[in-house]
Amino acid sequence: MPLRLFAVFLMIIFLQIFFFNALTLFDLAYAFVFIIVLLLLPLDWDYKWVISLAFVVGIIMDISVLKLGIHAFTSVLMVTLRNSWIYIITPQINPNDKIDFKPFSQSFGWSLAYFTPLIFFYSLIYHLLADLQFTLNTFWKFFATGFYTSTLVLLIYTLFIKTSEKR
Amino acid sequence: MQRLLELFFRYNNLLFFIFLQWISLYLVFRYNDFHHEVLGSYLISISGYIQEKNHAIRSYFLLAEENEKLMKENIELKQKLVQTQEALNAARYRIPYSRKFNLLPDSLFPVSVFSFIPGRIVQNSIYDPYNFFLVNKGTKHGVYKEMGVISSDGVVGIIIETSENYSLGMSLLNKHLRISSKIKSTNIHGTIHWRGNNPKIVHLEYVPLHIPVQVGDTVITSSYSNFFPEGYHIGKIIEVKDPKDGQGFHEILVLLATDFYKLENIYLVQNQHHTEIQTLKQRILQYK
Repeated sequence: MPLRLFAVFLMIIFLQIFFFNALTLFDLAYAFVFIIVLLLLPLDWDYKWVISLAFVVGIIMDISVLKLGIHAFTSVLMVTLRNSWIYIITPQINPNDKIDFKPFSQSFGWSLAYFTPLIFFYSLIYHLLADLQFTLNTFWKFFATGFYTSTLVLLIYTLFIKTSEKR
Repeated sequence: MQRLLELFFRYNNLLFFIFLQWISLYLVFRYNDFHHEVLGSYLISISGYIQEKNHAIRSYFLLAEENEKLMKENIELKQKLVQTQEALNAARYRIPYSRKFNLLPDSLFPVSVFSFIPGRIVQNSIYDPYNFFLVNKGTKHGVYKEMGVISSDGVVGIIIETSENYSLGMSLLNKHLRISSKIKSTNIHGTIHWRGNNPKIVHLEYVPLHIPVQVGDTVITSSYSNFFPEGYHIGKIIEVKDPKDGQGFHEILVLLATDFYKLENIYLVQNQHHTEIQTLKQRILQYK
């Protein structure tokens, strides 16, 4: 991973703890912008490293919101699905080509198809585990968080990360 | 062993994934109060459900004996009710006569703060030093923590945890439990405590040596206890020994009225002033 991208990831985690955590709307929509770090981890990394990093990032987030374990569980589950999801939405690549795969060179449509379902999935698992039931309120939290986080993630990705990485 | 290692290496990614998820879930249910409570309540419900099914089979074979006991208890209660009614009526006419107020309004007669919820023991242990029991009534039926539990024979224990349909009680046969009590004939207060030996015998502690104690005296609950109505049967004194350690208290052995081996039908004691008493007790801390 390029050092610059690593620094961007660190900054996103820092911003999540000190800024985005406070950006909750109506106690329904949470801004889980740090998910972008997990979704942009290099595809050629060993699976164990990827889930270990997802676990560590999740634990850091859990500590920052004083709800131990929920982010860690959801992060590990989401990055496990991540690779399979890429192969589903990008039929032209197969698992053996993953080393050459560059998400930054893909279109906006691809980014939308990649980030949004995984973010909604993250939101669903997170709220299910946090509430331990699926009520109407859980549904609204899942939907609002998914929509809100997806918007923020796509904005940050398109405006700051993708353009700088392309250069 | 070789095969086991091969399997381990073949599925190491999956095992590592399961390991991390297990740690996460452990953290979730161990360190978040809400999750911890929900899990505890869920486990109590499952345990209660299994034990109730188990109990249903066992109790089928004990129905005859149990019915007989309940009928006896019902007759005793009815007799007591009639006697109380008669005593109340007599008391009303004993008030100095007045044509206008020859009957006192009901509101002037004392009303008990205790009411009862019938329940059944679905699991009970008696062989550990710290015994507990499970009751088939929970918050849905009005059960709350720190309710007293009695049987038709005597005191059983105190409720310590509740879920929606079940509750967990600390048995009188638990070394942690102490219950305020007194000797019926002399009104001398003491504390009932089980020391973990015979499940039929408890100790009455803190009765001073200068107080004469007779074998055969009845031990009942005292007014100091908020969990039980005053005067409820606990047991009978069967032995009074001199203290071995030179302390100024009798060593009194009490044979329990409740037979924990056969414990089945119980009553949960509801103190209608429970919250009020707890609030006042908490205020004591301000003055310490």
